[in-house]
Amino acid sequence: MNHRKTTPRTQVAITREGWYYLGMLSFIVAGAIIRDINLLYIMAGMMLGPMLFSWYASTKSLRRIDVRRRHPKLVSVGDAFYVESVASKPKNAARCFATLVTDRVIRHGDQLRGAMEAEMFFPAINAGSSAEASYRVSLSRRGRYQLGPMKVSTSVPLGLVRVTKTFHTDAEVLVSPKVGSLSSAWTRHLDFKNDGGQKSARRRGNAEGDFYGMRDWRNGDGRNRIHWRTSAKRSKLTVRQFEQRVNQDLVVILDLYNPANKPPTSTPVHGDSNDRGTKDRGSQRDYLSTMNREEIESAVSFAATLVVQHCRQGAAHVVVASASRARFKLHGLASPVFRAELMERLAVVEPSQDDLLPSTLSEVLPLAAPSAKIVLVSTRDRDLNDTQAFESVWKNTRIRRSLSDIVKVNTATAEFADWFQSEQKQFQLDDSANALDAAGETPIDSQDSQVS
Amino acid sequence: MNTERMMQVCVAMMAALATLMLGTSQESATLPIIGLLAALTALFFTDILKWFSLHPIVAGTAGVVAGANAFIQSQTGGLESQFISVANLLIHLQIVLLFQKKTQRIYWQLITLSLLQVVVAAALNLFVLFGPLLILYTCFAISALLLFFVYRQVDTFLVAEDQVSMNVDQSIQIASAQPFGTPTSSSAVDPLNRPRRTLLKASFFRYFTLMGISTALVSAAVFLLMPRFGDDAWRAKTKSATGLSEEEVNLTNVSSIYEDPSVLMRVSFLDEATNEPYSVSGYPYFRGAVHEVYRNGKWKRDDSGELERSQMSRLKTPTRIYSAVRQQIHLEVSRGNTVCGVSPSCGLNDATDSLRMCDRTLEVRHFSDNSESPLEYTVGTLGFRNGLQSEFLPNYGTAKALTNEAVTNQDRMQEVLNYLPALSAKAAEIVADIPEDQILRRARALERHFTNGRAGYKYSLDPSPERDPKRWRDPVEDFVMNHKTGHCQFFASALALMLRSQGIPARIVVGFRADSYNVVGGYYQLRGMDAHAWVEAAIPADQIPDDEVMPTEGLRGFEANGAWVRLDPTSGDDFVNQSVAVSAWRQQLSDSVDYMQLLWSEYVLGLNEKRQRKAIYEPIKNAIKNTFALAFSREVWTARFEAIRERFQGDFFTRQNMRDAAIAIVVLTIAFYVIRYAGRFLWGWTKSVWNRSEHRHAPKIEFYRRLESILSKHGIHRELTQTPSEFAALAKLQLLDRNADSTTADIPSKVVQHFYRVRFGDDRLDTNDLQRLENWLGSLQKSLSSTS
Repeated sequence: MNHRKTTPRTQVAITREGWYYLGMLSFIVAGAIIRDINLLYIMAGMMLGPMLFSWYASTKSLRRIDVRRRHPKLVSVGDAFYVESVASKPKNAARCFATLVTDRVIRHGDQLRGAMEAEMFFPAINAGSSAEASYRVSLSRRGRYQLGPMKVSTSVPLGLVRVTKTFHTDAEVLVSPKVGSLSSAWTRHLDFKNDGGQKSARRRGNAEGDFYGMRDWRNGDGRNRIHWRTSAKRSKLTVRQFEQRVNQDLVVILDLYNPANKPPTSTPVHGDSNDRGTKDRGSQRDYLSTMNREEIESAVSFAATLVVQHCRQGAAHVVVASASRARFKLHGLASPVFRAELMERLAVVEPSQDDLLPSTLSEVLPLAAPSAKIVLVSTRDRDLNDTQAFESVWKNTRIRRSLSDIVKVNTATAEFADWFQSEQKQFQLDDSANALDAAGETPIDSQDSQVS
Repeated sequence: MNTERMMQVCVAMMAALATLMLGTSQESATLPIIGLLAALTALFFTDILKWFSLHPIVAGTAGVVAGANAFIQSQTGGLESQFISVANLLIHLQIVLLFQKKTQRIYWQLITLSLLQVVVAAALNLFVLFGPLLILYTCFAISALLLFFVYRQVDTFLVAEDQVSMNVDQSIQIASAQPFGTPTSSSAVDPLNRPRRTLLKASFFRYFTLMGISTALVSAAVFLLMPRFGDDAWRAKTKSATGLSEEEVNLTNVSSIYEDPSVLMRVSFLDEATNEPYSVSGYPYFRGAVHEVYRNGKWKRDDSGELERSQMSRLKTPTRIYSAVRQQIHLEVSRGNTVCGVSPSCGLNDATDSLRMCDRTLEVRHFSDNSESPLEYTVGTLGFRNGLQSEFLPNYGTAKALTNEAVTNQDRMQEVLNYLPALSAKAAEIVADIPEDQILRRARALERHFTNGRAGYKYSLDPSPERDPKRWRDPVEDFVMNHKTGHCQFFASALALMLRSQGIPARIVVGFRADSYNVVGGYYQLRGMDAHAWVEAAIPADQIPDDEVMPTEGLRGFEANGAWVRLDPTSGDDFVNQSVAVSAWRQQLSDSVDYMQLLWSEYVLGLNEKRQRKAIYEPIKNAIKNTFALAFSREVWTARFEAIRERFQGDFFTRQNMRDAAIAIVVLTIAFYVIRYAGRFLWGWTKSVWNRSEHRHAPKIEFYRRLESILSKHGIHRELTQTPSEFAALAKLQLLDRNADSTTADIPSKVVQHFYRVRFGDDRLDTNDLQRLENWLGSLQKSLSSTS
């Protein structure tokens, strides 16, 4: 549960039915006054009574009500999760009836029309007790989502007057990228790259750590791990497992570059207002078409999957850096905590319109251990031998050798599909949504942190 | 029974009751029966059994036909016809809706239509039955609205339960998991209809009761306290009262007389000395118009009813006012200005000022402007002695008037002798044995001629089939000499003319002979069928019997003028038997209903500005004034404390002390809770007002709202999650993108800085700051306008 509670504000409004009712009442009062018809005065009183009582009952019903929300803090893209609302009344408070709780879900940076509202209905909440209801949410875009404010309203007993209490509970849900699966082709590719490199002639076996146990052979396991004697005994391929893989340090550099990731302005190009509208829409379309969000999402998801798999193996040192709008650099031991921290970062990472890869490399490569695997995940094919572009890296003799060790992954290539399988399509491209997203772009200072 | 079924029953009952109210206002049984049948049929066959329902197109067509029919009907008659055609249209539309498949819209329309019918009925209705029907209708209306609320609220969720909704970019999908809140302690999942039942069970009776009480209180408050602006409360016109005309008595009319059972007048008697109800024995006569001129079968007033107010005198107030009996007369409908009452009338201290009396005929007339609404008069009478109505009335005429009257009487006698010889001869034959100077005896003998039954007279409201107008030109002579069948006017006319033929001045009086006393309300109710005509004959003073006391108490000086004695020739068995004997409980019920009708008419329908001021505003004003006076009076409090001190000086534990102490504790406890509740309410209200800092600062931060508004108009919107500072930074970038100069681009930041100063620093801007802000916002506006 994550919310900051402030004093709820109460609003009283007349419903549409209430306005019709008041119209009838006014008609009767006017008739009574104009013609001095006493029976119409009585009828006016008979209509006014329920109206006033509705106002009183609605206000009293919501008095001292408390509503809380329960929800997960971090979810993956596309995963359905439940948000529970618990409404309660203290012991000496009045019962409340027909209470409608409305919760709002909105992505940070989106405008209100991109918000969704969920409604829950509490028929009755007794004094000193609580009731709960829930709704199911599925978020198909990474990012930071805001839950709330929660509105608790009732128009009991006749639906003529609606009293609403707004609970400004600021709660957030982070939607992290979907963790997919890496194929054996990727493992082979990674191993090949490392084996073929100048520094990759590592010795396997004891160097990988203490012996842990034996297990069945799985697709992707190296041949040198097979324990032939045991395999012969069991008539089944069996491999050795090691507790610690000290040399499996991993450096992941996420390059999210999108030169067109700039919000279109509504500045008219020329012509009258109609032309302006057309141009605006046109420029938006152009801008959106150049932006390959699907590839960006694949890159982020791939990076997340890579690190998550590495964290499962444990005890290795992992460095993750992003050349993105909000740059970050995260390094620490592969662990659930690290994974969680990384997921939070990846949840909000966005492409940058500036080429931040050179500076990121010059910052990250010094952190890489000599035996670490360095993976550059990008949405483009970047030539790292471009000494001009990577001048800062090439000038540094300590790190320039690492450039040749980098395993490049371009999400735009066909082979990427062989390496990585996302469990579901992560994002439905939608022009208007992207436009809204782009409009909210704000430069964020780069962050640097270490998780241990 | 499920919620919807209960609601259908309630709505059907509302429809039936509304039609019933409308029907009673039109005094028609057809409409209520049709409405009730339609409501029941629709409930069973359309709602419950679902055998059939009208297709919307058919229903629409029927509605149009009903509207056209109402329009055509309204064109043929006057305003009343238009009103009735609208009422009929409402009923027809309601019937059409009842047979449609029920949706929320149809339910709303049915409720609205029934309400409109009640409104129209309220404008037309005069009967006390409307009150109980309205209460019943309100109960059903509250029930229907409560059920409808439950139905709407829960149904909305039941419909939306399986739906998955998505936002515009489909990035957020929301589906109901458990849309109905269940108690946290319960793990069972409720079935679908459980929420409806839970809500209904928990809230219906509670809210029905509370709402019923509050509705009754508010209705009473609105009805009593809502200021009236007119002197005359509106009420629908009733049919004109039947009975005897005060303008003339026409005996040539051969049609039957309809006995109208509707109450025209109510009279209660109070003893002026004790202010207690005055008990009257026998059937009192209420004098109305006095007719003295007879020609061709028609009696008319001597003055043709055209006496002006100035020609009539004020009611004479007796010297010993407590000998009088107070008459409180409630006149439902009056077609003329004659006020019926027990004569002789006299003034009281608070008698109605607009009444005037003719000294010669003792006729009382009112001269108020209003003749449509029920009139109320308070007037005294000297006509009772020991509960008996005197037969003799004083003659208030002056000497000159008496002389003139003597001449007139002589002429009238001659006229009768000449014009009605047979009747005159008959009269002479009847009184042949009585000396001419024994006027009272002769008059009584003539009266007995009609009442003793030997002459064969028969009372009938239907014209006699044996009438012979060719032989007997005059209807009265025809009555006496030929058919001897007729109503009171024939009897009275015959006696009056016979008396005149014998030289005895006589006149006929039209009024009421009351035989219906309302025990519950303590008043006589005079119906159209109680209208009566009798005769008054003038007798000299010396012939008034010794045991008869002239009702001139305190009005000395008129005894010498003689008196008018009341003679009622219609007192035969047939006439007396007109009153139908009813059982005691029916009489009690009838009296109760009539009394309630009186209260309804007087205090509900007839509450006007004057009565409201007198009965409600002034007592409240006086009560408040007195309370304040007592609450802040030093003497009063001193006396109270002194009384308390004295009381507790003796034996403390007396029964009275204990009772008073208990009452004091209860009162103080209630006062404590009232004050506590009021204090909490006031404190909460004050706090909430004070805490509305947003509102407190609203005028001060108006400039920031303007900035947002200006930028928003040009496509730079602040997002929900942005702080003003972030918004200003974004706005700067966007302004620069639009080729705005750096000075203009910096304006949002500057304005936001000022906003922060005011909003969070609680700072105040001086005039220079405000001027600067104005300039910045102006130049920003100009720059953006020129750019676009």
